[in-house]
Amino acid sequence: MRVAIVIDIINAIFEFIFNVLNGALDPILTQLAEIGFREPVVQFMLINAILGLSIYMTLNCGLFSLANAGFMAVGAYVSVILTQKYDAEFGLSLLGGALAAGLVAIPIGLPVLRLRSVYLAIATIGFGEIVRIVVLNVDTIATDLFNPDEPIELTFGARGISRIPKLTETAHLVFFLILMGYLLYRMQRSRFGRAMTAIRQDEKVATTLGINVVYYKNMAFILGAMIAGVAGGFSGHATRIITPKDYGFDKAVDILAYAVLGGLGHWSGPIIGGMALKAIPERLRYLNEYTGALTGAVLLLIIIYLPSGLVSLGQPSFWRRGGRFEGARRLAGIGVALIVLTNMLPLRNLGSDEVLLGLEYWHLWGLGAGVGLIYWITSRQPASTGGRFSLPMSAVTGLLALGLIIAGLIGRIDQPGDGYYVLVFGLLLATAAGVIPYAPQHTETPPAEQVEGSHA
Amino acid sequence: MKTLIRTIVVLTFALVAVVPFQVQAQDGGGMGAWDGCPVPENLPEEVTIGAVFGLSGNIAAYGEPQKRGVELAVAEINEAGYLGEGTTLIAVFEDGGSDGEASIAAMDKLIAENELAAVIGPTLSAQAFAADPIAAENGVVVLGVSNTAAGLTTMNEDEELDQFIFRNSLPEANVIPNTITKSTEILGLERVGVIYGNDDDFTLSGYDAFADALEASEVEVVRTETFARGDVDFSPQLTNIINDDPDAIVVSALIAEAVPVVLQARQLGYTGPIIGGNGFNSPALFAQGGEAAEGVIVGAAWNIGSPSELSVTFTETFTEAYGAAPDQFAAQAYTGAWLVATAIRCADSADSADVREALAAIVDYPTPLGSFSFDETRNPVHEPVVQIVQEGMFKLLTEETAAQAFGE
Amino acid sequence: MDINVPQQLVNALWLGGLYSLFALGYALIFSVLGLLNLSHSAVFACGAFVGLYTACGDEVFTTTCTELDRPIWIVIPAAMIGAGIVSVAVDRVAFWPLRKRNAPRMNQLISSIGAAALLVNLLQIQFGAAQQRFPFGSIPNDPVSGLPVVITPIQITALVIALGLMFALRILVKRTRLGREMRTVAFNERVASLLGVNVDRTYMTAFFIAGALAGAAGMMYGLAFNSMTPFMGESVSLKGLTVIVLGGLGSIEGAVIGGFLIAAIEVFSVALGRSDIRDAFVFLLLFVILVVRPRGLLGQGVEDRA
Repeated sequence: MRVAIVIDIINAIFEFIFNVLNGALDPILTQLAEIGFREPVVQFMLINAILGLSIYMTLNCGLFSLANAGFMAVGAYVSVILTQKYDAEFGLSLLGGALAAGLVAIPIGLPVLRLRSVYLAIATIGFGEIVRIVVLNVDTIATDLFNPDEPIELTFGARGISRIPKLTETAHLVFFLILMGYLLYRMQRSRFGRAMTAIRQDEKVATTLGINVVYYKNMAFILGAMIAGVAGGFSGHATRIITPKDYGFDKAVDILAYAVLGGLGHWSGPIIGGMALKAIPERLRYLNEYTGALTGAVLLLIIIYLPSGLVSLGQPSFWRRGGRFEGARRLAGIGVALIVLTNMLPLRNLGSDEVLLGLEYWHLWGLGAGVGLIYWITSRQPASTGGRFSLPMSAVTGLLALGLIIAGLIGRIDQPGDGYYVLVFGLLLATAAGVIPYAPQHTETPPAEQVEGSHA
Repeated sequence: MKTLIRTIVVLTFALVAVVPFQVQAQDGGGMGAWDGCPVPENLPEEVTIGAVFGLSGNIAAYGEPQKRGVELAVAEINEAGYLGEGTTLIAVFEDGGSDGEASIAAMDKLIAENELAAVIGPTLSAQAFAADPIAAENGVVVLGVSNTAAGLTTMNEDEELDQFIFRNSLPEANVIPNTITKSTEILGLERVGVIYGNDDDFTLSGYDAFADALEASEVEVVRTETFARGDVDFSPQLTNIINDDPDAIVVSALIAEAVPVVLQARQLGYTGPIIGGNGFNSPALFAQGGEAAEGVIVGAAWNIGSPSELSVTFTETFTEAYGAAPDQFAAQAYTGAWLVATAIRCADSADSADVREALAAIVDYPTPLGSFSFDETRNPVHEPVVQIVQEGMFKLLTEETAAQAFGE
Repeated sequence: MDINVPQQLVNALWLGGLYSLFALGYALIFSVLGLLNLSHSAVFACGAFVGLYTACGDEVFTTTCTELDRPIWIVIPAAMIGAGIVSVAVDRVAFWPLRKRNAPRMNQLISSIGAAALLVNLLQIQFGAAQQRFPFGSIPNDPVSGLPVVITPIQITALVIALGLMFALRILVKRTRLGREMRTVAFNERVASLLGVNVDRTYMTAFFIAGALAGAAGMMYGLAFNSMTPFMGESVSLKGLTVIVLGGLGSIEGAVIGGFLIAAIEVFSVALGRSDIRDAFVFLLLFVILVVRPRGLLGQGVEDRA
């Protein structure tokens, strides 16, 4: 009896929170819908953000794990089965999915986390594939083993589980993200967070400092798995059908791309990266069959020109770097990429002869030649030292560039096709201002890697 | 050496160069007016229908022919003034990608940005389960043209919503039993080997239908093998099956896997019948399979060699417009667009609720697929066909064609 | 249950040849750069399509190619060189800037995926998503007569080319100056440049060779299975990864042995009647090998690798 009252109270509290959140979200969602990101897309962006968080948990501890797609599958299947077969409440089924993913993570983590870098990555890919194959075959195998007369139907193999009630709401996702963001923020400042940073920076030193490396690594792995499990539950209840192929190798690599794209310097990086990787193809949708190629290109450009991810745009240190001729070189880099792309893709078929802000097609060739010339001249100079745009100048142009990039992304331009060009032009300006480091002199410390795999 | 280098340079450029390809609708052809309804008078100048097909990635092999089918139909409909003078039918395409998320985004965008009379698509059954409810909730009728999974048109909790979900693609469960009974009758099958893709919903539901039909016809299954999507080497499985000396090999596969299965079975020395479902129904079967495809039996919703006038004209105009013969995906999409146009015409309204009523009322409408009706669960009713490949063409499976193929 | 062992052995043998050929380039890049190049499968598809274009010309854009414009012994090297060039381009665009900056491996992995997505999508734009094939009879397809098992000339050709390229690569890496330079670069880039090795050129050469091997593999796949799409690399990509892990990351001989072993496991798991969980066997083995012996069958520790 008492339990029922407690549940009622909890439900009431949640209901209140979601009502408040919904009120706050409504105008934002309307705005987003106006610029082309309608609610379903926003929901998938938020789910991606949760996935980004899940991989941040492991990467933050120096673990190069690609198991999250597998854990997402476990979470999705368990939570969907809980709601469909056992009429569990949404919150409980999500919790069930998270716990199941965490439980699976324990026996996997213990042997696998001794591996390092690429070896860990490959082992976790193997795990993900095994999960997929198990989900595909569990019905037939279980039927063969336990009950040959009456088929056991749990995952429905490749058909997937369909007719899932759509329970995921934007407010749920936002609430969960805020909660997780807060916890992570607290965690980074806690003993737990410091231990993880120590392990990421140098495992041996961490051990000598008395940090229980195995324990913390496994904790990070399990927590990452649980967050991925929740993301799976949310996505299953958002798409109304789950099939094993949604959680394959591609998904695993995608999730890693969220982290790399967003940047690992800050916990918000993977969140931003995850949302961007959903937003970019959606924004480029009007390019039809060229969307895939351009998304790949944008991914490449960002990794090359924003080595610390999108999140580095918000870091002050980022804006103070630059080098002589580096700006021109970067301009050349992107310029050449642009020329190649526009020639590969018949962008001129998209409606007008104008390719770039009033420039016609042949202008681009001229621009390409000029850019090539600049590249050729500057690359003959000795390594860059000092001498650049002054800081205020760089900051002003940088801001302008950022504005253009954002405008390009959200398409606040009259014609639907213009967003992409503005985006590219913004990138060009940004490089010209020397704000995008392409600087060899700046080296990032690679994570400790060893070719010999095991035995930490 | 120099020519070699030149060849290579040319090749590299060819990879980069652009071949702009624009589709021009062809004159003439088409299904013409259906006597059932008079020429509409109250339609606005433009009537818009949406289409969600997988146009990027792997799935484009199926989505692209679908898009062409709809484009061709729309061009013909406007040419013929089928919706009355001064009314133009416009088809808006969205890329539904290859997963549920992308098709949801596409469907949602289409419905939000356009005043739609109906939506055609999405390509995969799994995508339909994800995206169709969105259309239904917005009161837009959706017509699947390639969804074959069981229970698709009754996917919602709420029966009212189901009323908006139609399909014109015969489910495997309607096509395959007919194929099996007919081939068993004609070829006298007693024992067969089965191979199917177990990680794809289309091939899996095809397998289920085959298994049931074989059991019903009391044919013994000597061996069942599986493969995965994207496999190219099927020799180990086929070696197993052939080793058991079956009367026929039954295959549930999409065309991408069907062709190598057939080629490799022949390569391993198997000469008997190979039986496939809807997935085999593509001209690629003999274009890619060549002689190996001879004697392949295909149960399907549409026969490219059908003598019916509508089917012949469709095949001709499609080939003329796109330089390649249509497959079943194109035929069903083409028929789908005509069905929707007919519903708009009969409803004399571009409002989706009215179009829904008119679509449900379509009876005995002549199409390339045959005489077409919807049943009360909005599934298609028309005769499936059983064909056999002979001399690089699909022919109807009869005692004679079978005797020619297998010399019995 | 009755198994046709000799035929299944043939199946395993030549499938193994193809897997090894595909994995060689993967392994070469890993041994020189310590890097998983996930765009290898896209280069593989590029090779097949360069071959197809060389063989048939513009015909491939509109219809099915019915006869060879150029003889097959020109087509195969052209495919290899074309794929080699693509591979070098991938290196310059996706890896070189990151290498210069000493960026984490993870970033290089993702940039290789970006490059792969770009390449595959460009192929699709150019050639369409539908299946393509080489003309019938490019290499005769009728089984060799007089044998108790079915072997076709294509299978023999593929196996011979695969083995030939393997030995050539082995000699190149072990016996030549270029090979020595590659091994030095692999050991330590800085040491190599101090010793007067042109590091950049070595990388480019390695990528060219890896690309050429992928191109040859793409051609063999195209000829053997007659089912080419821009996405043909996707399913092999993961297999190739398994192969090089099993053999020992970065080991050339390991890639060869791994290729034959994986093919044997696949074929015999099917032969024994469990085609439904064939891939589970493969990945389970991958998982176990990594946990028990991460260096693989023939891999070496870092110290003695140079």
